[in-house]
Amino acid sequence: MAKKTTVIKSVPADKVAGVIKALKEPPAAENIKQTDNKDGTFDIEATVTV
Amino acid sequence: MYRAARAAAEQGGVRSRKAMTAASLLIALLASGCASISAGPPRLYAIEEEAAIIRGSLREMNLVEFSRLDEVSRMRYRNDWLAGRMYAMDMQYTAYEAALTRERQGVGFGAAIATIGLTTASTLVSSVATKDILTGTAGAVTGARAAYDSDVLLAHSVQWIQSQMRTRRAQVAERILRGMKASTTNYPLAAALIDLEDYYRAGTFTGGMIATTETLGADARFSEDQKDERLQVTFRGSSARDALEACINLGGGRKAKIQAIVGAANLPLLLGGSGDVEGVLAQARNTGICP
Repeated sequence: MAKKTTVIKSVPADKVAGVIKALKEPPAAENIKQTDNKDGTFDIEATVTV
Repeated sequence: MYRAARAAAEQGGVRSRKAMTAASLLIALLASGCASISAGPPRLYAIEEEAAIIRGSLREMNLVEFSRLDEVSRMRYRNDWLAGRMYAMDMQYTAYEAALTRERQGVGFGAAIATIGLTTASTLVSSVATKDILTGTAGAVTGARAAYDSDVLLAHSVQWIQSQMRTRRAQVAERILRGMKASTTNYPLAAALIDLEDYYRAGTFTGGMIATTETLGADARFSEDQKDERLQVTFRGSSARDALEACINLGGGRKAKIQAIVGAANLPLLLGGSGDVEGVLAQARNTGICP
């Protein structure tokens, strides 16, 4: 099993909750992190096992 | 005048010799009292003696005779042969590893001890001339130490290779010990002998070097893989992306089903609006996954 990490850059603030919810749906992605870019967007990082 | 100068010179020479003798004794005491760099506690039998005992107690290998034995005897024969040879190799390896360690530590340690000894002895004698001789000698030894320090990289490499030798030996030993539980059909004598040779090679410097290269190569590959497996996309909104996200958020195993279409690793990319979002959404709708 390998882990792949994807970073979705510049996600608009109003889309963040939806993206994270979708990523957390089982089978859940791991290590979901969001970083505030201070410009109304966030970077979301998630690791999936394939 | 000449006689007085000669007497003074002779007196200085005697002092120098005494001081040098004191320094040598100090070095010898320091070095001989240090048990950590000796090979280990004394053995009941010398390695050569014990190796001879093992060689004498092992029956000569006779494959024809071996094949005629019943299974229980064959397993006992194979396992006795394996265990005896492994023990002999272990003993020899201990001596070899200790020699490598001594070689790695010896010069650096000896130079350090000599420096300490000579510098300490120079403070114990009063004559300026003797002090100069001793500290001069100490300087030379320290110079030798500095030169040796340039070999520190090699020393560390040797240490790393030793560690690889131990690891590789443990791996092969585990394989052999597992094989000893198996029947001679599943782990025949020939396979056991191949493993024994592998066990021996794992304990050689060349084997350690190869293992080191393999490990470093694997680490490099792993780093490359890690780098490759980190993807980055910039979010791109679209109605298809929103519909896909909404579909996944409905739950009911929809995410897993969509992952089955696109591959688990690609789903976050789709959620970021990257890739063929429209095509995947259409397929999900056609198969009844998404409304």
